[in-house]
Amino acid sequence: MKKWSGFFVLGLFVSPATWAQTADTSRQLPLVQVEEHRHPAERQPALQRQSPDTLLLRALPAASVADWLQWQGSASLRSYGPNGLATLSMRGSSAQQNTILWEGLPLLNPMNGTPDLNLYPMWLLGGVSVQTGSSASDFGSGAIGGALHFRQGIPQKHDAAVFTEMRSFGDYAGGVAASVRACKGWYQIRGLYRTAQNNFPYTNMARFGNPEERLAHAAHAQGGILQEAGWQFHPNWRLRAAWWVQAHRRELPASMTEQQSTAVQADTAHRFAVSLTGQAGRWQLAFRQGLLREVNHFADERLGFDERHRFNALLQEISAATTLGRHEFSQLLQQAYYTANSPNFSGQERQYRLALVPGWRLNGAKTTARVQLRVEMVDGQLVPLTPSLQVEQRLAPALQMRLAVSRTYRLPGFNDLYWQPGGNADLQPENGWQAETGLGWKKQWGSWAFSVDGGAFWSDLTDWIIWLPNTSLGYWTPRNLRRVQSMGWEQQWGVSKQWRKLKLRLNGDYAYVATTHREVGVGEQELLGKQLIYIPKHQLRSRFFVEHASFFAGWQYSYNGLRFTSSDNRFFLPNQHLHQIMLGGSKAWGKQLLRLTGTIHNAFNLPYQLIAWRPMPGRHYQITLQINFNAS
Amino acid sequence: MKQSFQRFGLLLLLSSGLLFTACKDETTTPTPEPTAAYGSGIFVVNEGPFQNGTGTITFINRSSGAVQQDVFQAANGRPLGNVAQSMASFGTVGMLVVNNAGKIEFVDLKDFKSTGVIENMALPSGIVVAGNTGKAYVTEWVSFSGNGRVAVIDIASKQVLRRIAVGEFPNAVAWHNNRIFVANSNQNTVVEIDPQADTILRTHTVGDRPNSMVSVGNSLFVLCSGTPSWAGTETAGALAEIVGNQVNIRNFTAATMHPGQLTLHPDGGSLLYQLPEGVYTLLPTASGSITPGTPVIARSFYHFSADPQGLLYGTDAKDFVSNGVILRYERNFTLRDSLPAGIAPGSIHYR
Repeated sequence: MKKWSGFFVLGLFVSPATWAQTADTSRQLPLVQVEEHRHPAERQPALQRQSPDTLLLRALPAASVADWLQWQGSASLRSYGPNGLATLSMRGSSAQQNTILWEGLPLLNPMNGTPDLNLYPMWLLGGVSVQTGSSASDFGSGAIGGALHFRQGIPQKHDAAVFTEMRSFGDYAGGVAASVRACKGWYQIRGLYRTAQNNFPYTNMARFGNPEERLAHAAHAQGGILQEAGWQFHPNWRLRAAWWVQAHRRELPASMTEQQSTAVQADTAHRFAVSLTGQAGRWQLAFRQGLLREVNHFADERLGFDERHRFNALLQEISAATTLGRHEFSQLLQQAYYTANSPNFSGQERQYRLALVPGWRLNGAKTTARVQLRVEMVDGQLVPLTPSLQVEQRLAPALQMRLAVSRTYRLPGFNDLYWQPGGNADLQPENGWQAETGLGWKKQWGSWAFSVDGGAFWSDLTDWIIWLPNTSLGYWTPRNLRRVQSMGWEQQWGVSKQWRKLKLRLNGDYAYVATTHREVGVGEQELLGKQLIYIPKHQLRSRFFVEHASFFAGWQYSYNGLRFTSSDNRFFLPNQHLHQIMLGGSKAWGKQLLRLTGTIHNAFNLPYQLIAWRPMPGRHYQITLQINFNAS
Repeated sequence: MKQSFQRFGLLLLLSSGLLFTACKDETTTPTPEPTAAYGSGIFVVNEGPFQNGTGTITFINRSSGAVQQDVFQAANGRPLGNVAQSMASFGTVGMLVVNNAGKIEFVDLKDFKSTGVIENMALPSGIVVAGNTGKAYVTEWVSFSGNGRVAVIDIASKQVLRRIAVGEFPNAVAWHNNRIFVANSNQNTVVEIDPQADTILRTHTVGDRPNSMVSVGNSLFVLCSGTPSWAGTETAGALAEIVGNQVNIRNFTAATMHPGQLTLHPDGGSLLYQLPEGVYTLLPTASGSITPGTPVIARSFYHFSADPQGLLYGTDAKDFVSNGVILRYERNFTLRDSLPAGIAPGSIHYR
């Protein structure tokens, strides 16, 4: 464990936004202490990683991952509205070119490969972090732009928490969490329920006279429970099992340019994960298994749709690592078996993936390096060999350099392959290369702490899959048509100051992302050099928090630059500035802690859209009450 | 989630233009000849991005070739709506059918300003003006499963006079011999409607999946795509000729041939249709099975039709999230030029 803690400390050098949080704020993280880098594949040097600000978690416990990423990090969010479909783009990636991992196991739907970030409430997840840059050699298909990591921590004591929150537009949420820690075992459970009408007013620019309307048919309800039990049955061995069940039902509102919608989507998910980790002699060993079962039910009374799409996934991995001096050698074997049923497939579709990932790691005093090669077969066919190199070099006590190069790929989804009509079984994986380099600097002067990190990235992805109509056959079909290049700069900074009971903290993220077509299909030459749609070239997030004793105030700012909505860059959404203000306080009562937080969302009441013609709410309010039992 | 939207979007787009492009009624003769800014010319109906966008209208001056983009937005300061589908005109009144927005926008062709709207239509698609009756007929899919209907519109009052139940996916609608003909594009029937009583006179059995119609003299030619392999047992496309009560059907020689986009050559002597390999000609007077031969234009289009007064027009929708182009061909099928369009140019109204 000490060794792993060391990596955690090392990891801080590349995560300045995390440093800037004072020790006190991390102590107030809910319930559990997140055990860092438990999964060997997550011990990636040179890749940036950020976690939600603890004050954000305190003020908005029912927030989804989408709610968080709108305010922090360099990912660009595309949202159809509150609680609607929300996808992300990192470093110019498409929505499918990112991955989500729960306890190191990929959660992605094999049919469309599109993670919907509003389906992941942070209260349930315990620990969330976003990692930018390719980790395809670790996590395989889709880990191109970045990855979201969900990880349960291990409770250190008995404790519990409840919260309730009310928000404008009929948005109510409540949650409970409890954990029990015995000498060798633990159990924790988290539950959440949230419901909202989302009937906010907006100006309908698409209607005559631009009338004020209220968003209709946008209600949603979400509930979930995540439980985990663990047993440290030997000083070196630990067994964990987790079960996560969640249901989500939402009405899909019409855009401003559409007629009233009657579409409804209901998603249910059952997820199991079991892991056995430990050490035998010089070997660190881990066995993990996951079982996912998800159902997506889409119905539209007006259009006459009523369809269910299901998938099951069995995921297994075995890893072994041994250390010889400063050298660590590892071997990872992963296999996944997917089945999917959809009325749009001709029958049940299956896929088997088997991957072998040998790796070497150097743990030097000033240098950490890692080399891996992923060899993967999908249904017996070899996919591109995926090597990666990651290097971190400490140039000075406060200065760290990093470099990473990786091959990347994404397998076509089941919809790409099997959709009837149009599925193209001859599709090749999207594949390419990605490289990044950067410098991180951190300094503490008395009660001041500073951190700055900046890095450039470049990626080139070919055989980009795009659905286009086969004009005469009358249906759409996907093809490997385009080559897309991304390059840009990501900058993070943080300043914090503590003076007696007063703590000040300012953090920020800036991203410049130029993502352009380098090769296109016949007749599409006009698209060459054009920025991809819905990817802003400039994006800025900033947060400022003031804490004094048991009170705090926070301001968050989010800037999205102009986003093109047509691939020839003729149409666009203008840039947007959003502000969020939080005020809160806490009161200790024995071992109990009561927290009350008020939040003003979109504080300056600015109209904006993240997807064209999809209105977002103006200024609205939220109040949250949380009680922690046996809080320390 | 995306999958659901994708399903929705794909079906919507698939049904909205790729396979069942509505045939414009070239025999429509509006009573007063307008002298408006948009009185004569070519209106390209651009569907727009099918999930989160708006359709637009591109206007082409027939004589000068000058192009004006998004004339509806320019005149009215608001977008047209999601998935613009088709257009028709009567005198100085233009009617724009907007599918997913469920509406018909009425505009004054003097300046393209909106003069009214009929809302709460059930997935309207094709439109045709019924001669000088002052009525227009608009097909409504109603849903993606089950039967559709036809809305009878009084152009002057902008009211729906009545609705007539028809078959599945009514899309193409034509005015022929003082009758309205509606193609049930998910079946093998064409419904004939009496515009005086607004009742169904008869239902003609044609080939599978009728997608476009052209009136030539006493004959109404109905092009049927046949059933593609992904939709069931594959059947060949066919050309049905309706004369009075009689239907003469000519099948394409191969079951894999699924033609679309029937239009009448401006010279009036031949029909044009499209297969994946390109645009082909067909003599209306020929008989027997249809063997396509060599295409006269060796490429296919998102939409293809002929201007009765001039050229042939094909549209290229590119990737459906960028502006498309309009390719103009001479009557001898040589390419004249290309003009810019909006996103997903899916149908053209000539007047």
